[in-house]
Amino acid sequence: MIKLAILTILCFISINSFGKEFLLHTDYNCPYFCNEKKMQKKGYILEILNLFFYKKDIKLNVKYLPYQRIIPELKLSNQNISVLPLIDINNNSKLKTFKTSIGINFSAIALKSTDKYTYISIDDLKGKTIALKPGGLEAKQVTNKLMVLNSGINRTISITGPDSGQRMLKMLNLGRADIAVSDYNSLQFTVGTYKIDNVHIKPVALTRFTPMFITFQKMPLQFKQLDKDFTHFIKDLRASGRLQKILDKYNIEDWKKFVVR
Amino acid sequence: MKYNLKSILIFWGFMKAVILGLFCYLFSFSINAKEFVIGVSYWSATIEGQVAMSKGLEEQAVKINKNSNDRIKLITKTAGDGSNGVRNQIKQMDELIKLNPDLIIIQPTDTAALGPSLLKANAKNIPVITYDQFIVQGQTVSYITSNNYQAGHLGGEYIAGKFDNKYILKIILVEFPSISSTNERVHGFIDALKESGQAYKVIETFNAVEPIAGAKAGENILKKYPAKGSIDVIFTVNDGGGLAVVDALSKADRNEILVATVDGDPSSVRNIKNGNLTVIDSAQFCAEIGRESLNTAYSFLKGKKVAKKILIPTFPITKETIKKYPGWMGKVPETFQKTWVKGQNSFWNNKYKRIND
Repeated sequence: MIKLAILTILCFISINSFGKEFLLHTDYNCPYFCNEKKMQKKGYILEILNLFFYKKDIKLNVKYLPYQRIIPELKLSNQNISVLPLIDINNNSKLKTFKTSIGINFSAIALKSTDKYTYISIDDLKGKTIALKPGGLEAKQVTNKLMVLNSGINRTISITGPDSGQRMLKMLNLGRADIAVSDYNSLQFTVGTYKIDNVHIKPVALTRFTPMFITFQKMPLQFKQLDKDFTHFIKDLRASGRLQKILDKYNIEDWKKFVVR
Repeated sequence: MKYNLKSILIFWGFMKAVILGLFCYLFSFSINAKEFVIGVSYWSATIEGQVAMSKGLEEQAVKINKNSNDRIKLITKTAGDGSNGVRNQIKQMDELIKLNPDLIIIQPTDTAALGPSLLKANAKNIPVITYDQFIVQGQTVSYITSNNYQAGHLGGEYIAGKFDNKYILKIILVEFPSISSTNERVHGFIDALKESGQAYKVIETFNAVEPIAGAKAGENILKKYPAKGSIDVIFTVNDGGGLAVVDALSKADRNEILVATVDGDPSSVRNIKNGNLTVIDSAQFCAEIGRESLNTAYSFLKGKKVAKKILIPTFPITKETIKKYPGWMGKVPETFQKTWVKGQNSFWNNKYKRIND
């Protein structure tokens, strides 16, 4: 009898723990996911996810890896999740997402405050010295197009390594670059965190404008319920003012104004 | 005699009350009747769909002026096409802001570049309504546009209905990732395929929303995929670029490809009629976007609460529904059954979506 009871308890524990843990796959991309040790900030998306999964009594572990390796990892387990831009999700018929987005990703330029020119398209960057972080979509597209515009002369400066955002904006102030190109939220975050003066950030329709979603490849059993709960959770977080408090820490705006659905 | 005098007095009292009431009624009308000055910044005077939007807006102003005691005075400006159009619109917005109108309605030529203009209007407390596209920075009273997600979704479900679910569709997307409305269309299209359980593979993407880029995309598609059967479906995010793609493929006799598109351009409707590649075009109700923009502006100026975002439905033009389509200037018709969709969601959703948060 005692043996049966122990067996039942063990079974219950194992069933209960199944699906009670997710492994988030992401790269470091502040303000979305930050390198905690350096920044003392987790990233706003990670903060939101921690709150949500804690509420659902689900443990969230995080695995940092290069962006290119994220999607292949998702197919390995129904507990593997990520947060991906819609553009990458669309190209893969097997990826499933929650219905409610968790942010938006679009390009922007940083300029010296004295630069009053209205930059509209990539053509306006012709002849300018551009600072950018290599590896991202913005960098790839901008570099390729500028090479053509500048008749094969490379006028881009690649900023790599730690604090690349901060160093990119410092180059503007030092006059070593005319313009920095990056993601809008990343630039806003850098300006706010490092209190960089004499620089202003302007959104420009250069590369992409894409919402980001929590993504799975293998659907966990509780997917539908989690999807619904996440929608309510974000709604409540917004209504309580807590979401804004999180976003304020990163100097970024609520993405709800861009959600048209 | 006494009785007669009393009757006369009662009658006289009654008449006084009537005259006073009438006077008050007329006076209150003249007090409440207002003239509202609305600055309007249009995008294009040549793109047909956009012209329909501006016609709808002006038509609604005439209707309000005719049916109410208020008077709406429109001060209109047109930016024009291309990057010059964007610069023009920035200048024209400055001019409109200087005139200090009661409200500004703008169809932005660029989601980002008009941000500083919107911030200027915000600083002067001039309410702004945008239609067709939004502006990234600054605050607007309302944003009116087509239900772009629905537009893509209608295309995706129609395409899914044409193939066996297990067959892996080879798809090319002709898109424009830097604009949110076109991304919504792609998302709707892909979601519909996923919801239908349709297997697919996006074999290539091209960027085009205007004829020159569309023609180039068509040329490249033919170069990269010369063999018949190497592509099953092309989804183009608008007719501006999509028509040129269809034209190039049609000339190369690639009629085995099915094209789903968005906008409802008359040339694209002709392609559907003639069986020329395009099988579905999710049409915008262009004039209705204009009408709704002006209605929203008027309601706001009259102190009513308006929705932050208003989405106008899109119409699935196919061989089966073409007779029901009222054209760009038309109003949203009654709902009908989409014969290509099985199950509960088989009726076309013709409802306006009003989002308040």
